[in-house]
Amino acid sequence: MPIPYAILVVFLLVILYVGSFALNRRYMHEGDVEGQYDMKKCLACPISVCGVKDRFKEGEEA
Amino acid sequence: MSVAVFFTAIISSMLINNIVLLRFLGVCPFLGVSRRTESALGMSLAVMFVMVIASFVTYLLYYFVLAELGITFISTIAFILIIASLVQLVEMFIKRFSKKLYKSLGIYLPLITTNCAILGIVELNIAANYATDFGLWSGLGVAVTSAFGAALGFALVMIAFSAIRERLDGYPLPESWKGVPVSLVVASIMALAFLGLGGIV
Repeated sequence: MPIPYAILVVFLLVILYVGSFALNRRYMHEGDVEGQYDMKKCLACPISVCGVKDRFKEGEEA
Repeated sequence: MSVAVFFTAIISSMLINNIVLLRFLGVCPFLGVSRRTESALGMSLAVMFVMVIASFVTYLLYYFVLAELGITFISTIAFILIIASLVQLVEMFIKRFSKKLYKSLGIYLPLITTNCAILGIVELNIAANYATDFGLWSGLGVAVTSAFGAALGFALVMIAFSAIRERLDGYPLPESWKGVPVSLVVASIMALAFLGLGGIV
């Protein structure tokens, strides 16, 4: 019966999509979050790879 | 297999069976992101990247997984998920390296997921049965080449159309013709011009 294989393949592809989506959300553009983030909280956040954090850091250095 | 096969695949999918003007797929970004040449070029590059990679991945997925397991009936769902994942990666890439382009593409960037040109090319590659005609691996080459040609055709009409629209902005057109009406007239004339290329290969 190919049905279990079909479910498995679709499940794996959904996992792939959700993974890429999550990865994309972690790297945010400053326009996406304008006015939503506090600089202090952002810099204290443990996630190291983040576009918003990079932006704040660049601003601080400048 | 000769170079002529690849050349024919590129010319055929780029000019003779142009995805936008002759198959009428991908008309949404064609009308939506063609106001400025810069945006049109960025969109074309993003579509080109997704189309070529999606063709490669879906061809392998179809013949090595779906056909082997006898589950080709889920091919459309599988292809949509592959395209959606690729678009997320492209979005991340553009966001990182070209913030200006990311802003100018706006909502049309995530909407590449629903761009029927990409799903259309992927499905057409499978329907064309290149694996039977040229063998499994050579068929992969032809499918990817064909997708690349289609993406070039998409880029060609996008850039030409955006250049025409930019020039049209300066013309004193009647109020009722401004915007979409004159764009559709231009698109129809372009489609007629492309129709004239039929039969060159």
